[in-house]
Amino acid sequence: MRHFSDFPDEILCKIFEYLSPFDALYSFINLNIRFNHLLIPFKRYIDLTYLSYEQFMNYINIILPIISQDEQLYFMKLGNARTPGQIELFNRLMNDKIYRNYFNYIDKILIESPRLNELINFVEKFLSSLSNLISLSITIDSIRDEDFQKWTQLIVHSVLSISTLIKLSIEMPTGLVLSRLSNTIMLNSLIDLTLNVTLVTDLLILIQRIPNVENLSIRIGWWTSGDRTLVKMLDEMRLNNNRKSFLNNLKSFHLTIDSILTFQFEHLEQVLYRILNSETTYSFCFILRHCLNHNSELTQFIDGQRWENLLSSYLLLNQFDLFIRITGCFSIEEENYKINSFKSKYFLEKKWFFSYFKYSLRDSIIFYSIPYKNKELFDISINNHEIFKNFPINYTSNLLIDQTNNGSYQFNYSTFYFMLKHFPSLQELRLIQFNMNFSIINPIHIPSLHTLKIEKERNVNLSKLLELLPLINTLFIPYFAIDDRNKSSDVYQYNRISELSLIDIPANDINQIPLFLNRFPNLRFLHIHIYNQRMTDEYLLINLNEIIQKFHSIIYLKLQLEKDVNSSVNWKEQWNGRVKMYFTDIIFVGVLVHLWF
Amino acid sequence: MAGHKIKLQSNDGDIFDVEVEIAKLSITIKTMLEDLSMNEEEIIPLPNINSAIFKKVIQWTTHHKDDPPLPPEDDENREKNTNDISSWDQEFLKVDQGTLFELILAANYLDIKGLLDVTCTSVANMIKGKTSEEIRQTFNIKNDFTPQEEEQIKKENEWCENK
Repeated sequence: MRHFSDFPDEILCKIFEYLSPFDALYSFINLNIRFNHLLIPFKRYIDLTYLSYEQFMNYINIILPIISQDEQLYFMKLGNARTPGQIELFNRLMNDKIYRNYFNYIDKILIESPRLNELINFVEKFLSSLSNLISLSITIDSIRDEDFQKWTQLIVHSVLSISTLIKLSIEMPTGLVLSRLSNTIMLNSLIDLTLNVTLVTDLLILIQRIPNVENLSIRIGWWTSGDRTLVKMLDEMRLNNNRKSFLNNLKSFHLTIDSILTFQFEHLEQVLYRILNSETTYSFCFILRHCLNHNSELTQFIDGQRWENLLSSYLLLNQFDLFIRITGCFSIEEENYKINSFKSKYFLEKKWFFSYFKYSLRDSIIFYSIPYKNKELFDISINNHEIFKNFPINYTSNLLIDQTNNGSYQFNYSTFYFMLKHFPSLQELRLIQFNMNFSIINPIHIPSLHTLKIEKERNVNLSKLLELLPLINTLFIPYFAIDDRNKSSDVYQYNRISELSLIDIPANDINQIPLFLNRFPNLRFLHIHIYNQRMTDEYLLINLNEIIQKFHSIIYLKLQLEKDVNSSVNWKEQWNGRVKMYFTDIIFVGVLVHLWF
Repeated sequence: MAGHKIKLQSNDGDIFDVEVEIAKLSITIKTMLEDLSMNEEEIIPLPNINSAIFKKVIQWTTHHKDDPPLPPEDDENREKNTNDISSWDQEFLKVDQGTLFELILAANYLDIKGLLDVTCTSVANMIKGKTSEEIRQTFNIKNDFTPQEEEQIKKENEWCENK
């Protein structure tokens, strides 16, 4: 076989799977009739969040007009997280009717990290005019206290009220307050809802407005059983319809509680009676992210008998996932009693099994159902070899090993290998004061593991580390901790790393960074944290110039600085116009400058 | 059993003695041996692969025989995947375009996911960043649009580029 065109369609489609939609369209659109047909699936959706500015404009100006002749775009993902300024740019383009018409048929949108004004414009000028929109997902990174009201107003009045939406997901750092949600607002179209709310009373308000929801995922900031409003609402509900769910069609419910001030299990029962439906609900997941066990009231959570009493009336329930992390634990006797209460006939017949992991750091316990497959962080701390005897298999994607208080414990290759092998679905590994000083026997291949974060560590041999975990493509590491940072880049090349965060770069070392970055030829996203307090802006910009001019594969640079640069610096005019969009964020310890190339 | 061999025959008649464990990296051969209960003395024909390509396939599978299983494909993993190819595989894939394409067909026929991954990634890397015209030249792809369609495409492209 000599020619690419000789491949059967099946193989060509296979090869296209290794390209992003943009790359496939950019290279094959309008080559010939056959390729135009094969590209049809790629014409229907686009993820704009990994594109350079030039690629973004190419898609809008060249590719979309071609697509719109015989197909329509239905799904779009856009955001600021790695393409800062993209949402602002998109909003600006939508003022032009020609551009706007390319998006008429959009039915699904994912938007990441919008800033407040951008989301207001996006919703008012774009979203609200889409007649086919049925699925919307918004991920909000940060909310300033002074803007909280505006965010709430925007979401409650302009987003929740989009009447075509069937599926809605809003993730935000601070939960919504729904106490002012009008009694007349009913969100009848919603079938699938993911939302963060501040208090459990907000959840009680919400469930009375979403009668048709089938899948509900709620995260609550604080649970306070002492809240008088909660008690009053529960009393009223008890009088009106005892134990009757507001959600007639609910199939699955996922409840996450960030923290608890005061707790009575009875209140949790009362709330769940209004949500879980004995005729339709088959799945329930409960997560308590992290809580201090002030006066032992949280031990109620680890009482199988209570859960059994609550759940046994839901006969259709066949999936029950539990994750509870509590600090300030029980006595050993109490602990054994509680764990054994989850081994009753009821739980065994349901085939629901549980395990727990207790560790010394802050005297904490994680109690969880097995197999545990949710994304909640699993954090552990190891202080002796004994702990490995009953080490559980865990399917979590996110593991933190924090050895802050266990400095004397030394991992060796086999203990580290043993532990990671117990996390076969791991995607992100975070190591704090891990003291990784051991010989490598073989690389550890966990195929799903792509992100490694190293914190509070010294004397890290980077080449050995990446030899040990060769599948990593996203690395977060303090610069000063890299032992071999001054070694020649001819010897070490880390081709796989596409996203790098270098933090704690001392002022004196800034001129070494370009040399160091030579080791990462395929870098696309770079975050550097520089101590520039005693550095002139001129010196900073000269060194940044070298990075920006030299590494053309980088499409996003996040600068974390101790002090802002002179206000007269125009980022877009620096470096021959290489920066196309940018914005800055003031943070507690300085400033973040986001540059999109 | 380690070292135990089976006989595999390419479409140009050559017979290869291959260790069972290495041959079984091909799901197609594994299925033949296990589901069809083929006798180990029987010669298994591989009608879609010539001996030159099959030698390359054996070379690749021998080197990768101890690799861990590949991850299940899901959207999240896919997003995080890079197009990195290990240095050994890069050397292995320093072949002409025709051989690379034949390797893709062989990996697909034999159902060797790792080899299919690395060969498709290699082709995808050749494609990335190239315009349609560059792709047409790189892969010698014929234009089957009618002259009228061709004219229309040119006009649209001009319009788009001037915008």
